[in-house]
Amino acid sequence: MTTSNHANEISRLRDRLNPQMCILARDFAGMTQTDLAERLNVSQGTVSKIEEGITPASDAFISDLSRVFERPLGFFTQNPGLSLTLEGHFRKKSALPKKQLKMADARMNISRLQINRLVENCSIEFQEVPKCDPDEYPGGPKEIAAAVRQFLNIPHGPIANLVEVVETAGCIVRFLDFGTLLIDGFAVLSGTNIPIIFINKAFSPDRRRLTLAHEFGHVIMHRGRLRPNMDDEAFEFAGEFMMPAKEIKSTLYPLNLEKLARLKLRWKVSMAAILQHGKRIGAVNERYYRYIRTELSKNGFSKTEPYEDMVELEKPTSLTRILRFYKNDLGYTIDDVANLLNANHHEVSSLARPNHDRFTIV
Amino acid sequence: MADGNNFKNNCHLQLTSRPFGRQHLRMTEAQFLSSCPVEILLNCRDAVQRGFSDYAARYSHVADIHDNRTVASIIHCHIVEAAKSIACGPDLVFRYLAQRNLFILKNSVIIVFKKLDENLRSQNYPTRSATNFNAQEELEGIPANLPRIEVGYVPDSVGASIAGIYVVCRQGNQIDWSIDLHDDIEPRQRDLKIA
Repeated sequence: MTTSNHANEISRLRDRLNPQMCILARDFAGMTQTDLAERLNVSQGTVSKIEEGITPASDAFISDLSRVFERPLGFFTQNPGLSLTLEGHFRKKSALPKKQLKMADARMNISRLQINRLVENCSIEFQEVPKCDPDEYPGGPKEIAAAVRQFLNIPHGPIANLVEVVETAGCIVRFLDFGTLLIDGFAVLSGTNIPIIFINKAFSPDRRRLTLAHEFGHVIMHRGRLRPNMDDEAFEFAGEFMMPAKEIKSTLYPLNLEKLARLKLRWKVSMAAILQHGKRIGAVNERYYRYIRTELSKNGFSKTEPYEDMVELEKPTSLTRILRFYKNDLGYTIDDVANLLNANHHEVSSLARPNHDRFTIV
Repeated sequence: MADGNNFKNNCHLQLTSRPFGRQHLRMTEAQFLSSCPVEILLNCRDAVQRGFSDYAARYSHVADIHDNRTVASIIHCHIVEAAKSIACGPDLVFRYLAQRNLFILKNSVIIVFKKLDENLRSQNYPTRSATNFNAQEELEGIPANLPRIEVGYVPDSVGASIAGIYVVCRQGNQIDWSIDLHDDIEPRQRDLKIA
């Protein structure tokens, strides 16, 4: 783009600057208004007024935003037509500080906007994900998990590739750098009602699998509704979906750390999650559960468990498939896709190759 | 096949007194290190590592129904097979005698692979055969004058990884000496804290 074209573009866009996108970019970068003001060499008041929509942004301000956040101008002027406050289901720690929550929220929101643009502009069909009301199933989440396994034709035993199962069921799975270890995952609907499940890529493959099953449970049971004990229901679903009680229960006695490690080898789920499931299905009593939890902690397995490298990292393929459609069927270049998504090249690559970029903790 | 006379003629071992006035061969650590090429020790260590990791790689689909004894037995079989393929040669020969997998080093020492506890002791049901073997007594086809050395692994607290690999020389229930093989560079003396 030439200098005069760039200036024209800025002028054309100035009145359409979407202050919400400015806030989103700032939260994504983990910056406060003061940080941004320093980077732009303006007062914090200027940033505040622009973000509140009180004063319009100058040409230089928009251009500097684009430079500071390394995002195309179109990012700041887009009007997504979606609420930018995420309304979905988090698996997170209660101690999550507000700043980190805002950053993770921004990262998921921006990724959701990009996925939304990709999905609504392509003709790839997605399966309709089953929807089950826990009140309609006498056995609750456990019965729903068994029914979903049957519906998806999942054979007995451990699920070899959970990401593939969830994507085949009609969800989009995205491993994302949340910038914090306090959120495991999040499920949200795209503008076209396709469930998107974000999973924190900082965690080990076994933990990601449980989080994915948990979020999948939310998608199936809690889509568009709020219920008390939703997280408990999602965990009950996840446990039964990954480790059906009728298959695992008999092997949970006698139970010690060595056995727990071998159960992990078999079921590809963390030792802690197997123990929790054992307690939930009545195979481990409360007292023994607490004893084993203490032993896990004493051996340093609260942070890193044995056999971490024996659980293979599963790779989402839906987004790669969609981007391949744009490239091969529609003739899009990376620049074209970047323009479509109002994204930079790094973000387009990250969408296409979800496991290739690294995790960062702020 | 190695026989007792060959061993007696070929090795240079100390004669020590035992209870009841009998004499037997006792191999010191220095004698063992001088007779065993480092390459063989390192290959034995690799065999242990390969056999151990084989379990998680090949038995995960049935690991939940195995008990510790079964796991140790499977790992032992894999270590023996790995040792046969990567450690055996002119200086180290495999023999199956008295229902035991034995590796004969230069016709002078018997090496067996074992799982060890944190005190470097191997666990056996105290059958007469096992007791006699550990006490360096004669067994069918295995002369008493062959020093018996264990190459063993110490698993971590849940049996998921190897905490250490050692060469151990036992006299009955006592550990005479041991060498730590887990060091990646060279075998070295382990600072034992055994009562």
